[in-house]
Amino acid sequence: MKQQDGGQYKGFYKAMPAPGAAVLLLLFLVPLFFTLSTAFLSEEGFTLSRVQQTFTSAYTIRILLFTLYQAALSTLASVVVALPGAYLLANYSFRGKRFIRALTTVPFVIPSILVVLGFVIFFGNNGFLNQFLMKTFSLEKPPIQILYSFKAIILAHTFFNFPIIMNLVSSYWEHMDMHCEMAAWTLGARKGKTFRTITLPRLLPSIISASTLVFLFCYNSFAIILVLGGGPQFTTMEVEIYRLARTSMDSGAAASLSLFSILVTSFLLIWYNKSQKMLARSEAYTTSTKRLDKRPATVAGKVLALLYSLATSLFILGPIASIVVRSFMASTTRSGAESFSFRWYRQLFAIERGTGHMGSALQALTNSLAIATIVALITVPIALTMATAIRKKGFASSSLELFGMLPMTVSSVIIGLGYYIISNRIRGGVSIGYTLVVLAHMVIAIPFVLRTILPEYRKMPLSYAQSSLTLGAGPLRTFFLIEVPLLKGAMITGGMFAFALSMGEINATLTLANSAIVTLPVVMYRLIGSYNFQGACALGSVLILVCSIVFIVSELAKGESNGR
Amino acid sequence: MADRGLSCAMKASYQDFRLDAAFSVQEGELACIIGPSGCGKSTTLQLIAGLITPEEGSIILNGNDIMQTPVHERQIAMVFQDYALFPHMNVAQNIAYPMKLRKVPKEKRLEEVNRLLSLVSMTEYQKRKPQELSGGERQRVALARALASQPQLLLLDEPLSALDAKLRKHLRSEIRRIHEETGITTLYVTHDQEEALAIADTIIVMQGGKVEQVGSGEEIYHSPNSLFVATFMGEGNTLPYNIIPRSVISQMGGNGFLFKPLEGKHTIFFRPEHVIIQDDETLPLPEFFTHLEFRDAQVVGCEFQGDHFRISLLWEGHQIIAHAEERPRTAKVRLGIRIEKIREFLNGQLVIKN
Amino acid sequence: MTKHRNYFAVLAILLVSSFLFAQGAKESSSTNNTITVYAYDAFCGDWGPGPAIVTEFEAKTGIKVNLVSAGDAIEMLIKVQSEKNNPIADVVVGISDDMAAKAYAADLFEAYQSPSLASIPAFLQFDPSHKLLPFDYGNFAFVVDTEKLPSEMFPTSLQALTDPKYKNKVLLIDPRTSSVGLGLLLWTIEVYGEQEYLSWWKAMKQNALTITEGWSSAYGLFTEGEAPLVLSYTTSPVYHVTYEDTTRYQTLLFSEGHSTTIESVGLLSSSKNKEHAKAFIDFLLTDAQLEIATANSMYPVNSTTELPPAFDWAPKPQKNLSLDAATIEKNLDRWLTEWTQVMSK
Repeated sequence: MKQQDGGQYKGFYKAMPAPGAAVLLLLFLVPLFFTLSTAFLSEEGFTLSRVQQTFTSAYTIRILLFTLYQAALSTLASVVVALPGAYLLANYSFRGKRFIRALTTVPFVIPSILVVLGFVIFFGNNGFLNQFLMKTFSLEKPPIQILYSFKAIILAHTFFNFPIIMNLVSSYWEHMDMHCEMAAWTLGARKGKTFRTITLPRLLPSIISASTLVFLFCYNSFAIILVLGGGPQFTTMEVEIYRLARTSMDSGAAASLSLFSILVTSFLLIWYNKSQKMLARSEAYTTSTKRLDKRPATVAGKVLALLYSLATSLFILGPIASIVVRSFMASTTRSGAESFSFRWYRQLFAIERGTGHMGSALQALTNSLAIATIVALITVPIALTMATAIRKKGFASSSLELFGMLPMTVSSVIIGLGYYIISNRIRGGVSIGYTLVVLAHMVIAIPFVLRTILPEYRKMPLSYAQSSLTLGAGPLRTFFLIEVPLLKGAMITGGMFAFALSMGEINATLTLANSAIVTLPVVMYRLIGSYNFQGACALGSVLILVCSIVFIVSELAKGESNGR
Repeated sequence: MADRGLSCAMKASYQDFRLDAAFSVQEGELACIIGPSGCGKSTTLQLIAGLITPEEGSIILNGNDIMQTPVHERQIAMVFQDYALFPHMNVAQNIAYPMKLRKVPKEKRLEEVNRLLSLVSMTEYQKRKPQELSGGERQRVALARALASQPQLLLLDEPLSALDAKLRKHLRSEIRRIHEETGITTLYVTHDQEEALAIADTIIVMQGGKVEQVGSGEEIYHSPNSLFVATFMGEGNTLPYNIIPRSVISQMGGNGFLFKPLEGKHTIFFRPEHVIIQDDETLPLPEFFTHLEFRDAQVVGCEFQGDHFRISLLWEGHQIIAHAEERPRTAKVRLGIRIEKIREFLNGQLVIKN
Repeated sequence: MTKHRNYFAVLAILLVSSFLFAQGAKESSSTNNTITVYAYDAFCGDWGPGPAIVTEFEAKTGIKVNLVSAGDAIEMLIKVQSEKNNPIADVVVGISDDMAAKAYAADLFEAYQSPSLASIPAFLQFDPSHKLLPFDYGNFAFVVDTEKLPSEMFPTSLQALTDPKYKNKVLLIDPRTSSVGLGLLLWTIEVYGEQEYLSWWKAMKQNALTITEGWSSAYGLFTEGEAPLVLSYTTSPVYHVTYEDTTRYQTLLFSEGHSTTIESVGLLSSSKNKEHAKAFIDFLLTDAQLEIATANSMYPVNSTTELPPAFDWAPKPQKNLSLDAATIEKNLDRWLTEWTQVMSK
C-alpha cells in the first residue's frame, strides 16, 4: 500500500512546517552550529585533531560508558516502577485518577535544584521521613540512608521519570483492545503468561518510546547526579562539558565533547523516532476506549493496588510536599527556631514588603504566566503544522522529525553557549528580550508538543482527510474541519506541556534575559543564591500549584472533547 | 441432556440488557447462533468461553461443568470477529502459540503448524506478519491457531462478517469442510441467515437475550415458532388474519365462515416462493387445493435475480413479495397461496391447530 | 523543481538570520556625557548594587551611566574583545583576581592610579600595574550549624577538618562546576602547595557527605540540617542575622588563613571618555563601598567604610591567601584533572 503523497496539494503540505522550521533554525540550529564549529577551529585554522582526540580518548569513553550505564539503569528502574501504575491507570477507573495524572507531571516542571532540595528534605538523613521514623521507633540513627550514593541517583531519576513512562504507556494501553489477550486465554494461557507473551510485547513499542525519552533525560542529568550521587566518582558527559566550557574555559574542547555527545544522543533519537513509527503502525486506530472496570476484582488485587498507590504517592508526594511545607516556614526568633508562617506568601503577593528578591516575585509570577501562555498558544499550532509534514513518509519528513526533536538531546550547557551568542549579537530593549525568551522556550517545547501530537496524527487514517477532499473541502479546510478537531486532545496535552516547560525553564531564560527579565524560576534561583530557601520553596509551591491546575483543567477539557 | 457435547443455561445482566439463554449442542455438531445485532449472541459466546462470568447457570461440556473453570483451562478455542492475531508474532508463531503453552516439543510444533496451515490452505504464509495479510487470510490463520489448541469446543464469533460476499461464500464452505475433517464441536455466531442455513447442523435463533428456537435449518425456515423467527430467517409476507374469510377458495367453494380471527394480533405469514401469479385475468389460478386468492394485485416493482424475479405487489394496501419464473405481462395480476403454506401467529407466537 | 524551492527557502532564512545577527554589531556609540559600564548580571539587577549606585553617581556628578548587564566575567571579556574595533564600553566591572590573567592577555585595560588606592590595603591590590582596581573582596570559609555541632567540636583549621570525627559532616562543592568549589581547591593549594594538596583531599573524601554541583545545593542541604559544616563565604551568616534574626550559623576562621577572591574594575584603553570613566571608578571605590558590600555580601576594599552591625558575624580572617593569576591560568586544567582522578577513585 502506498501512502498518499498529497497529490496536487504538495505545495500546501510543504509550506506548512516552514514557521516551525524557521524558529528552530534561527534559535537552535544556527547557534548550535556556531558553538559546535569551535571544535574544528584552532589558532591555525581548521583542525580535526581535537575532535579526533576527544572521540578516541579513553577518559571520554569511560565517562560515556558511565553516563550510558546510569541512564540505562535509571530507565530500567523507571519502567519497573511505572508499569504497575500504567496497568492500574489503563485498566481501572477510580476516583482521583485525573489528580494522579496531574500529580505525576509535577516533577517534570520543577527546576532540578528544587527537586534535589525536595528530595533531601524528604529522604535526607535529617529529612522528614527519617525524623518521623526515628521518633516513632525511637531510633538513634536515621534508618534510611539512601542519599549520596549511586542508588540515590537511580532513585531520584526514577522519581523524576517514572511518571512520564506511566502516563505514556497507560494512555497507549487504555486504547489497546483486549481481544488478543482474550484469544490467548482461550488458547490456554494463564493471566501471567498472557501478560508476558502477549500484552508486554504489544506494549513494547510504547515502552521503548517512553524509555528513550527518559534515557535522554537521564543522559543529560546534571545536578541530581552530582548532589545526590555524592561526588565526582559519578561524572557524566554533561558535567564534563560544563567543566570544559565554564571552568576550564576551553570552548573548543567543550564543543568537541558536545559534538560527541550529540552524535550519541542522535542515534538514540533516530531509534526513538523509529519506535514511534512502529507504535503508530503496529496497532490499528481505535477511537473507542475500552470499558474500564471500576476496581480490581480480587481482594489480593485490591491490596496490591492500594499498596502500590500508597508507595508511589509517598514517593512522589513526599518530596513535593516537603517543598510546600518548607514554604510555610519562617524563623522569627533569635534562637533560629522555625515556625509556621505565611510570611513568604504575604511577600509574594505583595501584601507585605518583600525582603531582597521577594520584592520582584509577584512581577515574576505574572511574567511567567504571560510567557508560558504565549509559548503554549504559539507552540501548539507550530508543532501541529510541523506534524502535518512529518506524518508523510520519506527522507525529508524523517529529517524534519529528527530536527524537531533535536533540542531534546542537546545539553543545556551547549544550548546555553548558543544562546549566549544570540544575546550577544542581538541587543535591544526589554521587549526584544521577552521575544527571545518566548522563542527559546518554544524551541524547548516543540519536541514535547510534537511528541504528543505526532502519534495521534499517525494513528488517524488517511481516509478521513481523503474523504473530506473528495467532498470538496480544500486542504486548508480539511485541516481545520477534520484533522484539527480530531487532534484536539493531543493539542491540549501538548499545550499543557509547553506551558509547564515554559513555567519551569531557567537556563535559557537566564542566559538570554540577563537582568532585564524576571520569571518565577529566575527569582527562585536568585532567592536561593541569597540564602532565602524558604522563599524559593514558596515560589516553587506556586509553580507546582499553577501547573497542577493547568493540567487538571486540560484533562477536563480533553475529557469533554472525547465525550468521556 | 446429552453427556457429550455442550449444554448450557446462563443468566447475566448488564445496564440495559438481560441475557437468559439455555440450549445444547451435540458433540461433533456445527451449531449457529443467529440473531439481530444486540440479541446477546456474542455475549453468549463470551460466557461460554469464560471471558465473562454469568450470574447463575451451568455450562456443561462433554459431561464436565466448567462454570468454575478459568478461561485458560476450559479447552474452548475462540476465533474473534477481528481475528485478534498477535501483531508481534508471524503466522507460524501465532499458530504455534497454544502448543508452546502446552510445551509441545519443537519438532512436533513445526509439523503441526505445517499440517494446520495446509488444512487452511495457507502453507506459503509461515513467515508473514498479521499486518501483511488480507482479511480472508487472517481469518484462516485465526482458525488454524484456534485448532492448534486442540479444543473440545470451537467458538467462532462472526468470523466472516468483515469479508466480501464472494469470499464469504468460499470461506464458509471451507469452514464446513474443516469442521468435517476435524469433527470438533463448533458454535458459530452470525447475523447472516443465509450463512447459517448453509453451514449449520443446528440453528439457535436468539432475540433480546433469549433463545427463540432451536432446530435444523429446514425446521427453522419452514416451521418457525414465532413471527420473529419467520421474518428473520428469510423473506416473508405478513398479513392480518381477517383477510382470509374474504379470499379463501376451496373445491367446495367459499367457506370463509370456517376461519375466525382470534383475540389479539392475529396474523398470517407465507414465503414469496409460495405465491402463485396469474397475469391473465381471463384464466383461473392453476390451483385445485384450498388456497387464498388475491384479485387485482398491482405490480409495483420487479427485480431480476438471475434464477427468478422478485416481484413487489400491492393488494388492498398490503405489500406482498412474490417470486416468479417469468416477468408478469400485465400491471394487474391475480395471486394465489395454498392454505397449507400459510402459518398463523397470534401476538407473534405460532398458533398450533390440531 | 520543488527541491530548488526548498533550497531557496533555507537560503532566505539563513540570510535573514545573518542580517539579524549582524545588526547587533552596529550600536549607537555613547555621547560625550554618557559612559557605558559593563557589569555582570548580578550587579545590574534590581537586587544588585548597580542601580542604586548609578542613581547616586548621576545625581552627584551629572554624568549619565549606561549600565549594561553583560553576562559573567568571562562573557564580559569575550564581549569587550569582540568589540575591540568598534568599542562601546568604557568601564568593565567585576573581573575577579583569578580571571585577571585572561584580562591581561587580551590587553584591553589601561592603568589608572586612582587616588582612592591609598585607603585600600596592599594585599588587595593584586595588580601592581593598576589596570584592574579592586572594589570588593570575599573569603571562602566553612560555616557551622551550631545546633548540629557542639562548640567543642568546631574545627579550627583545614587540617583539623580531615579528622575522622567529621565523617559525613561536611558539604563540599565541585570545583569543576562551581566557583566556590574552585575557591576551596585553590585554597588547599595555597595552604599545602602543589605537592601536598591532594593528600588533604584524599583525607577529606571520607568526611564529605556529598560534593554538590553548586553552592546553592550545598547551602540548601546545610540549612536543611543534612550536615553541620558547609563550604561558603565568611559573610554567609550576615543574611541569617539580618533577615532571620538568628546566629545559628557561624563562620569558622581557620588558622592557615583563608583564600581570598577579589573583584575588580578596569578602565578600557579603548574608552573615548576616560575622565568620566575614572570618576565612576573613584566613586565605586569610595562612596559606593557600603552599597556594594551589603548588596554583594562582600567586604569593602576601602578600609574607611563603616559596615552595619550584622557584619560583626562576618569575621575577617587574619591571613588572606591568594594565588598568582598566571599560575592559576597555567595549571588549572591539570589541577582539576588531578583532583577528579583522586576524588573519583
